[in-house]
Parts: sequence; structure tokens; C-alpha cells
Amino acid sequence: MKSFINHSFKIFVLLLFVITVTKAQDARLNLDRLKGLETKAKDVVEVNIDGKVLDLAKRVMLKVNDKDAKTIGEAIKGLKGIYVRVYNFEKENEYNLTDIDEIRSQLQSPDWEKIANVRSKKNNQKIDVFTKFTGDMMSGVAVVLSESKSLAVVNVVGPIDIDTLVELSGRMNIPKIDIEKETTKKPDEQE
Amino acid sequence: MENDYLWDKSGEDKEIERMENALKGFRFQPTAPPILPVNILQSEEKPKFGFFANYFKFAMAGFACLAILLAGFGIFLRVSNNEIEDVADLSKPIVTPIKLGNPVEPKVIDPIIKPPAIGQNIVKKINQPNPVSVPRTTKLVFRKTEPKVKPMKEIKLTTEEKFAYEQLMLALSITGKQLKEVKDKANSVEDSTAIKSLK
Repeated sequence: MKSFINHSFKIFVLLLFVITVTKAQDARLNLDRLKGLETKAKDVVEVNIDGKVLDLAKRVMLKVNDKDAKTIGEAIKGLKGIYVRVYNFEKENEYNLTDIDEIRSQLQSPDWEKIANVRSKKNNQKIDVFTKFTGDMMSGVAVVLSESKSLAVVNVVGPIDIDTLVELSGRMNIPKIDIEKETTKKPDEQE
Repeated sequence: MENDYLWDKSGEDKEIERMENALKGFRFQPTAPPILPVNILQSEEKPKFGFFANYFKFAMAGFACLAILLAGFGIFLRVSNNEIEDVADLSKPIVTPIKLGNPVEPKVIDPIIKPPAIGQNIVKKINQPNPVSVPRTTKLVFRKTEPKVKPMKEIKLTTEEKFAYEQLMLALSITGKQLKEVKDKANSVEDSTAIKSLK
């Protein structure tokens, strides 16, 4: 009887863990709609980092003997994935607004909460910042930026210390890459 | 020869006297020495303290030899010390771990290294709170001035690690930039609203 209770408890904990992970993964947005923009855009930045690659990056962060690196390491300790898309266009309105609206519509669900909203007539800029909480724990962040000549979507899955990230952005070992000029290459492509 | 006239002019010897008279013109006559056409250089006088001067030279040579010997010995110790440090066990951290967010620089334990005895390959590191107060006459003490902390550039990463790190940093950089822009805009709006309400 004891073993049955023990096994049941273990299965329950496992199910709870799976549910929690699944809930956390729910914070991932479907960015497939933006794939069509790759051919239209002048510059494209696409970053998908999760799973083993993310674990590897975290381990490297621990190797780096730097105070700021350790602070960032702490800030992203619970991070499960981060997905970034940046598109820059030569001319105005080269992208379809429905593409970005589709992303915004995914964030209209009650799980997501809009914490910031910027509207500017200059360049027709719109920035929305959403967060998602699972219980008391942050499980996702989404930033959607649209301008007349550029489009950017950031999707963070898992808890992250936003204040630390904002504070340390552009400092120390975070590469200061000009998004308008640089594009990322995967290792396969480099070889 | 009938007598000793030839030797001490005692007695008579006419034949010798005749020869003396014949050769009288060549007899030695004391006159002043002839003047030489060159100046005579007199040799310098020897110093009065010649013995002490020689002693000083010997002492200086001795000191120079001793200084060279000591310098060579010191260099040998230094080189052998560094070699031993390189092969020493580095698994134990020299830098003490600090808590995150602590503004104090990493506290480095001063490694005091005794000079190794001949044939000895072990270096003992002793933590002393004030190594300067160690009397100099007791033993030779070598202190390493710089902490042995690996700089960031020396970290060796594999291609995969480097790619993962760069991707993560790029993603964080873009995220941070977007969030910072929002924050700055929000702050500027708050400031402008505050100014308007004051007016």
C-alpha cells in the first residue's frame, strides 16, 4: 500500500511538472507568419535559442569570470527560450500590417497582460510589451515593435529579470551589434 | 814580470811603464757628463698608501663577484619558482568566491611562497595576515604581486559554446534594447505630463 502511495505521489509530481512546463511553453508565440518577410526585408535578424543551446550558453556564462556576466546569468537562470525576429526594410510600408497584427492577436488572450504601450507619430511607431504569469511566477515576455521601416518581435519564454536586462543592455559582453547592418549566421552556414 | 808593478805599482817594470806612457793620451780624465738631446722623464712616485689601495681593489672585486653571484642565485630561484607554480595543482581556487552584487573587488589571498630547497618540487603556500611583518633576517620570502586570475579573453570555448553564447547575448541585447526604449519613452511621457500639470 505504501509503495502504491509513493508511486502515485511520484506520478502526481511528474504530471505537475509536465503541466508547469507545458504552461511555460505556452508563452511561446507562433512566429511562422513572419517568415515571408525574409525575402522582402533588407536586413533580417533571427535568433532561436532554447533547449541544449540555451543550457550551453548558460554554462558559458558561468565560465566567464565577470561580475556583470554573473548578474545576467542570475537574471536568466530560469529562462527556457528566447526568440527574436528583426526585419528592416528599405522603403516604408513594405510589410503587411496583418502580419504583425496576427502576432498581436496571439497576445490578446487573458493569460497575457499588456504592461506597456507606446504610440508615436514619428515613424508610425508602435511598441507593446506583454507579460505572462503562471501563478505568481512570470512565464513569458513579449515585445512587439512596428515602425514604418522596421518590425521586431521578441518572445521570452520563462522567468527573466527585466530590470537587470534593461540595466545591463549594451554593457560588458552583450555584443553591441548594429541590427540594421549585421545579420546572424548559423554555424552550418559559417562553415 | 819581476815584481808586482802591473798589479799594485810596487817596484819597477820598464816595459810596462813604456806602454803606459805610450797610451797616456787615452787615460781616463774626469769631466762633466755630456748633455743628452732629449728630456729625461722621471717616473711617477708610488702612492704612499699602496697597500690600502691594493686592498680596496681586491675588496671591490670581491663585492662585485658576490653581487653577481647573489643576482644569479635570485634569478635561478625566481625561474624555478615560476616553473613550480605552473605545474602546481590549480584545482584549488586562488580567488576567494564572492557573493553576487557585492561591490567589493575579489579578495585575493597573497600567496607566500618559500624558496624550494634543492631537489624539492613542492611549494608551500602559507596564508599570513601580514606578511610584511616577517623579519627579513629569518628567511627569504617571495611574494607574488599579481593575483593569478584568468582574464576573460583566455577562456577557451568550443565553436558550439561560442555560437550559443553569442546567440544568447544577441537575443538579450535586442530584448534589452527594446525594453529600454519603452522605458525611456514612458519616462519621457511622465516627465512631460508632470511639466504640463505644473503649468
